[in-house]
Amino acid sequence: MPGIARLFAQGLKGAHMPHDDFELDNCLKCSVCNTACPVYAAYPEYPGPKHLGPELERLRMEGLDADTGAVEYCLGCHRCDLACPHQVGVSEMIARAKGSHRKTLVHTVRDWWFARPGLLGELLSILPSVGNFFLKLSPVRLMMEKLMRITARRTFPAYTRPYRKSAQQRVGERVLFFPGCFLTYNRPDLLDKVLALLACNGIAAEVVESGCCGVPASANGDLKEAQLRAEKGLAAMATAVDAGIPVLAACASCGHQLKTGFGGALAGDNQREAQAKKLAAQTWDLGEFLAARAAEGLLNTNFHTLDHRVAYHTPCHLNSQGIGRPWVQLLKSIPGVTVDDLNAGCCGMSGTYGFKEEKYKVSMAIGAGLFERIGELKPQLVATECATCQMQIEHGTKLRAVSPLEILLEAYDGRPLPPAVGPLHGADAP
Amino acid sequence: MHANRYDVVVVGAGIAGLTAASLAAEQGASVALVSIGAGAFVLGAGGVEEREVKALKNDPGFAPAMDFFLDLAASAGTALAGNLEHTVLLPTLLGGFQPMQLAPALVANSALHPFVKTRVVGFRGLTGFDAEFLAQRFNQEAEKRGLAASCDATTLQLPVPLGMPLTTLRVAQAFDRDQGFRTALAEALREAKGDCERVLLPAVLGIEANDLKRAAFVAQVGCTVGELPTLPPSIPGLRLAQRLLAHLRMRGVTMLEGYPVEQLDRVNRTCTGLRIASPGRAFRIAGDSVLLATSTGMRRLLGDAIQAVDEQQRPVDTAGKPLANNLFAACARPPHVSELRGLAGRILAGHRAAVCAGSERGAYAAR
Amino acid sequence: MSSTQVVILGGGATGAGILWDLTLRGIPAILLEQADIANGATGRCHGLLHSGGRYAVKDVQTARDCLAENRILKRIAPHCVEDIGGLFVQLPGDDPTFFERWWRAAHEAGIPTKRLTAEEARALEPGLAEGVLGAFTCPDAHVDVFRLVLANLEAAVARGAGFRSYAQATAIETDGGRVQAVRYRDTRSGEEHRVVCEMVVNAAGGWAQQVAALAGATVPVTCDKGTLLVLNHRFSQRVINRCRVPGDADILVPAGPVCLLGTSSIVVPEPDGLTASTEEIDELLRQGGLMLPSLAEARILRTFSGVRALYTPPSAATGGREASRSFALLDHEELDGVAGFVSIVGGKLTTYRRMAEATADCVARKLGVDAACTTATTPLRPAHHAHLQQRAERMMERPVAEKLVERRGAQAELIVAAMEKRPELAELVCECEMVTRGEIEFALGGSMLTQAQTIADLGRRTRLGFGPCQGTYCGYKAMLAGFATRRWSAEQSVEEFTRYLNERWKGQAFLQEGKQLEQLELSRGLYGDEALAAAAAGDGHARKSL
Repeated sequence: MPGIARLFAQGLKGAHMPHDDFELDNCLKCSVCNTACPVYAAYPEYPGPKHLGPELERLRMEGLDADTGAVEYCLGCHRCDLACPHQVGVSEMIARAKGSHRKTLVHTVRDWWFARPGLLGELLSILPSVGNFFLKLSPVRLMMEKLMRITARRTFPAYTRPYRKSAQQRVGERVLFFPGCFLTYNRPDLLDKVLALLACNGIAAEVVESGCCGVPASANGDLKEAQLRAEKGLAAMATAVDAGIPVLAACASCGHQLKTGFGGALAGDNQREAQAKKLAAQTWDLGEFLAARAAEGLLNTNFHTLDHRVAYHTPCHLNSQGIGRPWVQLLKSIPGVTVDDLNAGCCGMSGTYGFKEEKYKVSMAIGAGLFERIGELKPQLVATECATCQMQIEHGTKLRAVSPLEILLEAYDGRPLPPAVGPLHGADAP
Repeated sequence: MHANRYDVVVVGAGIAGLTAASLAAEQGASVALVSIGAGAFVLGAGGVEEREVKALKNDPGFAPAMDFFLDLAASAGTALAGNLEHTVLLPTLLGGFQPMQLAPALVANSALHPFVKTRVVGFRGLTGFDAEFLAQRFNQEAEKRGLAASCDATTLQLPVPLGMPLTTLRVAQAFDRDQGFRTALAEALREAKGDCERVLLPAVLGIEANDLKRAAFVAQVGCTVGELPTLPPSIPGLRLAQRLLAHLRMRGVTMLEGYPVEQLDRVNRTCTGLRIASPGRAFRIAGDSVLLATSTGMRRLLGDAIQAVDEQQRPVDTAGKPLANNLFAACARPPHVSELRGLAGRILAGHRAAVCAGSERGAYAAR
Repeated sequence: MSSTQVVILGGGATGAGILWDLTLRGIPAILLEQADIANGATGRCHGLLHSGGRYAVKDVQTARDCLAENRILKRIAPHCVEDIGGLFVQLPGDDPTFFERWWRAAHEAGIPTKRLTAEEARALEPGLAEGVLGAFTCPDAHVDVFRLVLANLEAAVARGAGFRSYAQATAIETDGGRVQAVRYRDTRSGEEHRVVCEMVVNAAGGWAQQVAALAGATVPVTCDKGTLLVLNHRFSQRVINRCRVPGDADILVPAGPVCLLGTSSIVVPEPDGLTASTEEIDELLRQGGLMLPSLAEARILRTFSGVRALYTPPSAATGGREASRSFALLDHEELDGVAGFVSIVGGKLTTYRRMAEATADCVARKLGVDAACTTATTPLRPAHHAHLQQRAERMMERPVAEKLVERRGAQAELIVAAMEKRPELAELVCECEMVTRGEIEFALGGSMLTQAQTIADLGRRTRLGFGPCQGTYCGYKAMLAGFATRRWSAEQSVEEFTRYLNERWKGQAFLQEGKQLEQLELSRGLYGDEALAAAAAGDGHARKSL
């Protein structure tokens, strides 16, 4: 190739390219990723994504042992990726480094469990009331903190009889619904309602039963488990994917995971990667899907008039899907609902992260700005689709946090949201 | 509900894009701003160089564009100081001076003022900044110009430990977050200033904080405070970006951040939509007018057509016809003329493109 | 330093090796280098520690010599050598009979090698092209050229030898056909000096003829230019050679976090003012891409060119790759009637020690010193305390500590001790190559036996500025370190830094597009006006440094 053309092509390659081409070589050391990192701002000892990502990556490629405990403090929020003007896949480098990070024994055992919320869910739902009872007991929690470094300062969501597929056949446009562990084990009631909501919009949703999407596994550095979950997920959805059936996810993290080929967990497995790419192209966030229906005039808009002043918080994993904020539009279309878009950064919970004793303070420091903003706005309730964001907001503000789904359901139902009861709302002190 | 459709879609959140989006929003349009990261201006101190103004001042669009931007910056809480008639000498990283005409207010306070007793204040452990070095350099440069040397230096311990190594970013974030830190820092400076009339700091006085917070801080210090440039990331540059973005959000501009536009859809010389390379599946949005304000992105999206733009700032093909009647580009005419590379040039480009897009809006609605 | 027995001219590997060899034999010597260490061919090559594989087919003896020296260097200077091994890959389209000849020749030369199938080769190096037919293994390695030269110099200086950089020889005084003294000029201050000596060794490589002329002698050398590209990250774990008659761009050498791709062979009139043309660069990438396709899209950090000084006595006037790559020791007493003046030219980096040995043998004989060479068995660096790295890790991250101790050896103890007193010295000045402020201040200070004079010198001693940012950020911080330690005044600091920047920018001058160009524009945006003004004002030293 003639010289100029090659260099031109190099320029194109190095310039803004679609998702697949995030590269180490694109880094210009400009440090903008550090400015976007919530951990960097809240935790002075944290070296920042620029260092943990592209800087250490060159040394890792050189074969040096660049392992550092700092990688555990990465939230996996992807804000560094979004802020990078040069398309460097920073968070993926850090996620891989987490996979080879050597942990203490306690952390290893604890994080093994945290990497498997599906397993935890199955176990805790055998005798849910017993499990819930013990998980509330002070002495139990203190012991968990001492032995397992799981903070006693938070409430666990309550477990219940998990969702089991009903035999009921639904009529309508076929979709798959990827429920995620929270809906399955903690809010199967909500899952039922989502299916009903879709049904009254002419959509027959079938629930995918493949277990966890794998985000907690990779967040906890268990790349093997993440790979296993990816393989199971793909297998469970294979026929639907081939048939071109849309896959819906209500949880932003599950959605992001499915849209990114399970976050690189299948690297090296060309056949599965190709399948995962197909799946990604057919994955919809639930809000995204409903908003698209609404834009085409296909959404059932038989809404009751409500009376809610809502503040909406964008989960980081919704931000990283690059689809705007569909729930804001949807909520605004409900009569009697006003929506303030909080835009106050990351809540700091990041799934299992905030439950870890050594990370509790950082988690709360990260969320401080959000709590403050909520305090300024004084909404009646906060809406956010991510379950752990809800937990963090309730923990940090004492205000009620619900999924926007629940508000939409209320608009269909007419029945007001139950008052402050339910799995998330327990007495807990920060 | 028309999801993802806007009056104006601006691509690129550099200064050109931010200017264009602001103007469109002010004109009452619904605006979406698509970006990946901030523009190159976050690496610089956010000032306008004299030579840029010289090159551009005869352009009839220049004065209105600059007026607009100055108002915008002030409303957004990062007012620029100076005016287009008067040159000030502002410090560089190497302790020299360069002629500027506009700069963020506190940056402008670090101008060469030989008769003002000045103390350069550094922070112990702050990477990439040496107060003594800069003070000596400033004095040398003053002497070269036949002026009196009036700078000395001191180094303070930060009142609150902020990790090691200390970076300007951490200090700026602490400034934003913590009233107690601001107070303690102001106190420390107040003590350190001695009988000096001015203290010069590395630029660390907040990114999200607005002018009022800084003014309160300065009042507490009790003398003039100036900000000095540092290695990237440039805090004043980031400040300008963040405040402008916050201002845009407040005005209802929809931000779509993090993924590039991979394709423009065109049908019969109308741009019917854009596809953003979001994970999994392209995210589609549409605008009555589409305004491209990216640097490398333009060539990628338009190919060779970017050789020229017409009087209405629309990229044209080799026959001279616009690629799309509702597609505009914030660039020089012809593109890549070097005068429009600096801050003023980009403001002009963004403003002009938005003016053109605004005057055409409604006529080419892409349904 | 006004008198000694031997003055060595030229601070490349050969000169440094001779200094060490003579010092071990108890012969007082001083080395004068016109710029900084490894300014000539030594600092501008791949840093490939040959196994001999490249010469086996053409010249078995050279191959055997290389192999022997390869093993010796790995023993005496392990801290300079990345013993990563190498492959000779067979590409379709290359002469298949050559593969078999290579295999036989390698065995004849005693090079340990295994034959790999295409799958086995790709299992080791997944980046290899699909079409690769197979490969041979060999004990190639990467040697950090600057570390190697420094190791020789510091070992010698520690035992009393002399070393001066930025010292350009201006005259070799003779009396009655015998060397008496050397006059040289400090190129930074302009001061003139004189050293009385008995012998002068000309180890000036590409400048050998110019030096010889100072004594009225001749050393016919052909300057053969080779261009290399520095690529942003490691594309392979091993040295990758193309298994064919040696030609352009058939070697890729991983070198720390980067890798070097090269090279070309173009005869040029002189060793200065070298540039790399776009065609050369294109060709390098194209050829390299045949072995590893991802090279075609690599981010090039910089290009540089160096000169091989090939001894071309009148009988071998063709030059280029055809001229012998083995070395020549010229005794000018016999050749030109100048007693006490010898020249050593040609050779390869891999055999520098052998060349030094031959030269030192000659020098010792002429001086009547009865001492044999011991460089093959004397480690170049004393072992450091096993706990030093652990102690360093308390002040900094593990890879940073590892690199510090690897670079500085026992001297790292001084740096760590300083850091324990002043924790801010743990700040990373160069974030790409992990160089701490403590190490920078050390290298600028008097405790360093080969003290850095300029920021570029710091680069050669610590790898500062060798990474993707090419000195944009770290050069500035290094400047501030030089100011803070009172090494340079504020004005000198700016001079040093702008000169450094211009040198760094020169190596990126070929860029027309891409990420490195953006990096360069960022750099120019930060400092451009002042640095360019400084360049226009002109200066004498800049030309020759990397």
